[in-house]
Amino acid sequence: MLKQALAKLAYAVPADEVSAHCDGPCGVYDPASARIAAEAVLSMTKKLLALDVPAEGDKDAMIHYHNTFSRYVAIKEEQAHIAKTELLVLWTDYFKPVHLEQYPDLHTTFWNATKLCSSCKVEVSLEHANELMDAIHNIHNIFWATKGRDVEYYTAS
Amino acid sequence: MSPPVTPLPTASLGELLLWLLRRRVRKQVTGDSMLPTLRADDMVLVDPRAYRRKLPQPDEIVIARHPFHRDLTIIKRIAEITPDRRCVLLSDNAAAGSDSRAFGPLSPASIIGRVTCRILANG
Repeated sequence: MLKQALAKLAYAVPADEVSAHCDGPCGVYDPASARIAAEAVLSMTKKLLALDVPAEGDKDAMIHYHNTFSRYVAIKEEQAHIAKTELLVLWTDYFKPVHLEQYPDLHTTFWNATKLCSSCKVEVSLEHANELMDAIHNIHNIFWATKGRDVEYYTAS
Repeated sequence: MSPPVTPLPTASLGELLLWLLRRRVRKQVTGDSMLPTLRADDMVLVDPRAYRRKLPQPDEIVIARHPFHRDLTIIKRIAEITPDRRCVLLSDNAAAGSDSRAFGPLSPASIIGRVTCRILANG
């Protein structure tokens, strides 16, 4: 009787939480978040390369050019960093030793992909932006294969 | 196939009295990584003094500070103690991820307490 009353009391009052989440605090992993950021990097790279330099002496056009150029660079920098972070989280938090047995070059795959994020920051390189997209496509295939799911790869643009 | 896991006892009168005497603290489970032993929303009692005089032992369920998310408290089972006396924490749910397979063994200082029992809603 006393035990049941105490148990009911102990159960009813809210308590601090302890996490038994499956995959870290939020439990959700998907290479799509890296892919979206990498697409933004590719898009900004294309826009930067397509920008026309204004004629000398045209102050308004020059201000507009520098402002647009700076915004594109800032977005490219930010999104490349997001892509790198998303990849690092996948690599260090999602992937386990058992996956490494299945994909022995997993570490090299992620190392190269995150290095491409750095290259995309340092340069305005269409080649490296495309290589980053290809690397993330490959990681998409590996990731969903480890989950035993056939998830089609797609891009937003 | 995963090895069988030791079930967690339900709260005895003694454990509930220890809670009243503030020798046990209650914690509520979120997530499914401790299935089948513990489900989301299960309420457990924790002995925060359990490891003052002895080291954690394999097979004990403990709560610990997450090494990378310091504000996160996790609940896991001790799989083994390494030769340098660190604790390998694993999820009972073998399909689950975030445990020592991801973040490595933890020092005993990261272990907050031992989970002693589960409280049933109907006593």
